[in-house]
Amino acid sequence: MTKFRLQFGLFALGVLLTIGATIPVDASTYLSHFSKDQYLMTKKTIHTTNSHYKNIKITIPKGTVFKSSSLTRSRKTKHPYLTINLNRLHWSLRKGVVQSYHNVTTTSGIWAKSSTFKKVHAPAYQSYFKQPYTGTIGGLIWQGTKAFPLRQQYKIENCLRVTDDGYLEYFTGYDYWVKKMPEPHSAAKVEQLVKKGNAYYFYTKSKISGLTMKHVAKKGNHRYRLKITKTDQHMATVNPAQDKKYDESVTISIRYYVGGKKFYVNSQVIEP
Amino acid sequence: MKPTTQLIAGALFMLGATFIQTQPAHATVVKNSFLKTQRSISTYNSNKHAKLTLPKGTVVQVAGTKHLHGNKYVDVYVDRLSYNIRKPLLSVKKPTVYSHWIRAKGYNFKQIHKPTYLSYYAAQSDGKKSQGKVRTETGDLWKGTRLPVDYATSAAARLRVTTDGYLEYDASSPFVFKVSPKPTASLKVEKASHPMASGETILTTKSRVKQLPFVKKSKDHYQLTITNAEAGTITVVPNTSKVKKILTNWIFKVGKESWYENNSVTTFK
Repeated sequence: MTKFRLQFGLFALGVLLTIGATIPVDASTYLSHFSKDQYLMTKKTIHTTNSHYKNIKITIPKGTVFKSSSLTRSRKTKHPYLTINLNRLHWSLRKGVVQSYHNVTTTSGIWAKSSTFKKVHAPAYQSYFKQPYTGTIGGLIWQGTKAFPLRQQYKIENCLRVTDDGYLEYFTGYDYWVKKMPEPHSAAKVEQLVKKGNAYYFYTKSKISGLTMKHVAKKGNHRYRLKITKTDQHMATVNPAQDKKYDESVTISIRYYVGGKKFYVNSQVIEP
Repeated sequence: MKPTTQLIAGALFMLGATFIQTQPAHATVVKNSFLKTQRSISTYNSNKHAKLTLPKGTVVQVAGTKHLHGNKYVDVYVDRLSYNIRKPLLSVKKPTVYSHWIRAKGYNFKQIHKPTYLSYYAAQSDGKKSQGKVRTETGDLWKGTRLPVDYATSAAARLRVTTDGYLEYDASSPFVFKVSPKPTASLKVEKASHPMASGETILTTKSRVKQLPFVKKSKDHYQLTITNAEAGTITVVPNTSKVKKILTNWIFKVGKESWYENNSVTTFK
């Protein structure tokens, strides 16, 4: 009997300890310790508005991956909050803010609660480009042989990118100077990414018009395949200074092949 | 004394000891610092193939520092010194352009500020690296506005001021060299000024070099003005569609002529 009591006592103590141990975890319902480029995934659908003007309704579905802003603490409650840059998400999510006449593309502050967000690794579908030195991934891949000189960037070009939430978007006639990412000419969700050496194979359910994709299956989600190849070839575009005798800077771009055609990514600018 | 107190005291003592160890007498002497010799120093180059003498009062630039058995040592750039001092390097087969290690002590050196006659270039930025771009500030000025793409096999007129204050002019110097050869002309800089915010470095000498735009002020009194042109140029090697190296050049006006310093290199794989 005493043995049983002792066992029960130990069991009760164990339960108490577990509860005690879970309480601090339960208490820290806010995210902290963000890395420089912190990606998050929404754990539930978020209803919010654009920042400052608060006149556009924004809905971010459950399971959306995005690169978070850094954490800011509320002055009143000291709780951390973050914002989402809609420019980095696919068209149907950013449409509202892009079509509004305000130049704001971020959401209002959203509490950085661990019940709303979960930290995730940087998505592989954006690993096609990694900025040297900063390590930031993703970004625009431009169609053409190499970067335009800075003073000629009014030229309208075609480009593609993969959004934070995994949509491959192809833009035609993209104005280099826009602040808000326009409606893509064509886009599709990336269903799967296969990496083989320097080649990235993006599988989608539908064809992205304008890009050379291979039709690989008639059924299922992996019907079309786009091959993006990264090379080590660096190109230089010298940007002359106002006094043409001198140079202001040089833009370094890296050669890519997208569906067999020449593309490039701007990697860095060097000044004398 | 309680064991914990002893432990804390011991830890504090150790901490103090390490702190003292890491703070030698010449803590401010680092790479690219300037020192003035306080006596004639006999030494070698780093591989001991050439014997060198640094006369008393020579201004040298530190190439690196090291600590050995609690003593601090420096090695200096011998190639950036005037011809008479670096001459022994030119007659050995495998020259190295650094001196042997010398004790960083007050009886050898006194630390000084960057000399005014070197104020035309960023003499203390050499070797600094950011985002793959390595600064190459050696004070060598080349005639023209940009380094040629085939620089590795070509030559041009070169001008520089040595760390010990000699203006050296080389009518045709290869762009790539290990030790600066005997200059066409070498003049001692008697006086130098660097008026604030003018971007000018005015060098005064007793004689002149015909090929350079010296201005005669009076008998035995000539001036050469080096002005920062606040402009740069870029050299892409070997071509813009397959880049291996980006070299940047900074423009100077010597008198009214354009000269440049190759001030950085970025290498791509």
